[in-house]
Order: sequence, then C-alpha cells, then structure tokens
Amino acid sequence: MTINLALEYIPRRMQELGYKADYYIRFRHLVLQPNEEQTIDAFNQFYYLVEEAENVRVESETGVFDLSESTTNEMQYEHQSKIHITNYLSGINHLRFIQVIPKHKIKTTIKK
Amino acid sequence: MLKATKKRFDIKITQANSTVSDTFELDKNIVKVHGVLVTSDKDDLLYYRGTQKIEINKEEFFPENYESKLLMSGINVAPKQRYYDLGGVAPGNGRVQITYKDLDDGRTVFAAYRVSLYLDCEMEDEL
Amino acid sequence: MMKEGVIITKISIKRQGERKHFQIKLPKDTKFIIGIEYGGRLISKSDAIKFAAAPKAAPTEELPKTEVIESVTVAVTIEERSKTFFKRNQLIGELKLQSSEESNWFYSTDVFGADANLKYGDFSNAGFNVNDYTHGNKRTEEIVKVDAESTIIQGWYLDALGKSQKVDINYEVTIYVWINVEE
Repeated sequence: MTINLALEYIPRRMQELGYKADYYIRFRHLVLQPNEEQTIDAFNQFYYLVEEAENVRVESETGVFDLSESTTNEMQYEHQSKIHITNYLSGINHLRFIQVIPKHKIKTTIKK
Repeated sequence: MLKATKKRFDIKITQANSTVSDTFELDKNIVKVHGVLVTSDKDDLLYYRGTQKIEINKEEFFPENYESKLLMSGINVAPKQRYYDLGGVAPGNGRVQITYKDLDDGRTVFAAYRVSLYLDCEMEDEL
Repeated sequence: MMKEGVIITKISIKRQGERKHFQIKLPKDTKFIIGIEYGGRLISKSDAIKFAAAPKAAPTEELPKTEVIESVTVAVTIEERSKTFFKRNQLIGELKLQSSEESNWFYSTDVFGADANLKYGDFSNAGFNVNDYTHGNKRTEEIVKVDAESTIIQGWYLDALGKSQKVDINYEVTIYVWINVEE
C-alpha cells in the first residue's frame, strides 16, 4: 500500500468501525535483523503495511502478506491481534507500517 | 445495542510435556464474557493430555490442572449448550490468559497440535 | 474504587550503542500513570570487559530484587584516595518515555550502575562494608501523572555501557510503569 492510499483509507476505515476520529496514528519503520522472527502484540490496534516489503512475511489473524506465498489468492495489508513477522533475508531488512491505535473509551459510558 | 459475538484465540503446542502460556486481549467494545470452551485440530490429544488455567482480567476462572476434557463439547451436545457458562463476566482490562499444559498419558503419541480457546461474548454496537 | 498496579516491560540489549524503541500498552481500565521505576540485570559479558570507572564500579543496576552479578573491587592500597574523591558512576544507558497525548515526552532518565559514592565522606574506617542495601536510599518510584487516554506509551533506551567499553554486552533493562486502575 502506498502511504497516500493508507492516509485516505484509514479515516474511512475508522469511521466504518465506529472509532470516528478517536485514534492515534504512528508511523513505524522496523529494522529486522538477519532471519529475525518477531511477534507484535497488536490487539485493539491496526497495522497497515506500506511501501516496499520484500523477502518478509507478515501474518496475523486477518491474513498474510508474503510475496513468496503461492497458496493464497490475496495479500493482506491490514493486520490485527498477534502479528508474526519473519525476515527471510540473511541480512538486514526494513518493514514500514502505519500503526493506528484506537483510544481507550474511558469517558464514554457503556451499558453493562 | 448489545450483540452476541464469538472470539477465538489459538495457541500452538509444539513439544510434548510442555507448558504454553499466552495472553490475548478482547476488543474494547466487549462488555461481557458469557462462556468459554476449548477445541483442537487433534482433539484426542487435547482430551487425553491437556489441562489449562484460564484467567480473565487477572481473575482465575479455571485453576492449573483443570482438565481440558471438562471444557470440550462433542457434536452430540446442542450447539447453544456447548459453552461453559461463566455467568456474565466483566472483561475489566480485557486480557485473557491461558496457561496450557501437555502431559504424556500413555495412550496417545504426541504430534504438534493447536489448541483454540473460544469465548462467547457480548459487545456494545455503538461505541 | 482505585487500585494500583504495575506493568513490567523488559528491554533486551545485545549490541554496543544500541537504541531500542518499544511500546507499552496500557490496559483498558487504566485511569492514570502514577509512577515510573526502572531496573535491570546483566545477562552475559565478554572476558574483555574492563571497568573504566572507579574501583567499586559494577554493572548491576539498583533494584532491591536484582540479581547481583560481580563487583570488581580493587586492592585496599588506594582506599585513602577513594574516600576523598567523588567517583564517576558507570552510566548504563538513557531512557525516555513518551505518551500519546498532551504530556508528550514525560519521563527521561540516566540509568546508572551501583552508586560508587556511598562511602563518600566516611572517614570512620570502621571496616563496615558499604553496600546499596546498607547505605543506599530506599528506592521508590518517581511520581508522574499522565492521563491513560494515552493508550500507548512509546519510548526508547540507548545503550551507553557497551558503547563506552567498546564491546557488545548483553543485558536487560526493566521498566515499571505504575498505574491507577478503576475497580
């Protein structure tokens, strides 16, 4: 996803989900060590994969992004919950995300 | 408006006699947890070998060594009756922790398997 | 009713001069962040380590329950000198924390090894070995007040120990975020 597309896409998506404008947005540029695997806790958050992402696998409960994956018919750019990242390169690799963090709704009363 | 929703969390058991612990977070708009159950892709292994501790918002609902067979429901159970009723638990900080232990039982041969924890929840539709 | 709790985050440092960024998620029911504390422990060191600082410098950070690894004590002959001069403490690293709302960067600190100056000005020569747990101040958290609407705390830790020794040191820094939770 290009950053421009992400910036158009995110506000609409947040409206759809009911968060309106109550979210924080962060740009994350991860540096992955050779053959590194990591798991990111992204519960109640959204990570949008932007820019180039080669020789890397990003998998979460919403789908997988892996250009070398041949068994899927679609790549997923929006990730949630536990995100598993695998660097296939034996050198340093880079991965860019836009992280969207919906705010805790402490001030709103929720019917119990 | 309140709606019913089911959440699933998976853990992978890759080694025999190991303990796997993981913490998951419920969506912010979930207001109550009504029930739980566990399933697996190799349900015989879950039945004979598994025990787990389940905590929601740091409150322990099932202690260590609580057998998985007590939280499994077979196909002969009516679908709406399969979940273990917790009576409507407030999610608090929304964190669910499961500590699952796999133990040899002499009858089954270990193979890597997945254990899934299902939660029957109620969510607030309008945030 | 308010309850207090703490969120513990461990940062692992493996390379010299490493800057580690991290995020700490606040639980949904948090009202405020009320305090910050830090500690750490050494995991492994290479044999080539030399302590550039004063005699008693040891790479253990101050925290009551930290596992104490080794402290290098130089022979007694320079004791006279060590009593009168103020020693340089070993800087382990720098830590900064940022909230997502108005508070922005709300906490900054230098993480030091054990306080090498506990014996400063003690001319009694009583033979009583000075340690953190005999002469050190009681450790409590530093008070802050940050609204938990922040949801996420971002921060970074920058290694100074490995950089000054010019060697990769593997250690762990633990950050304790004290929070107020609504019951």
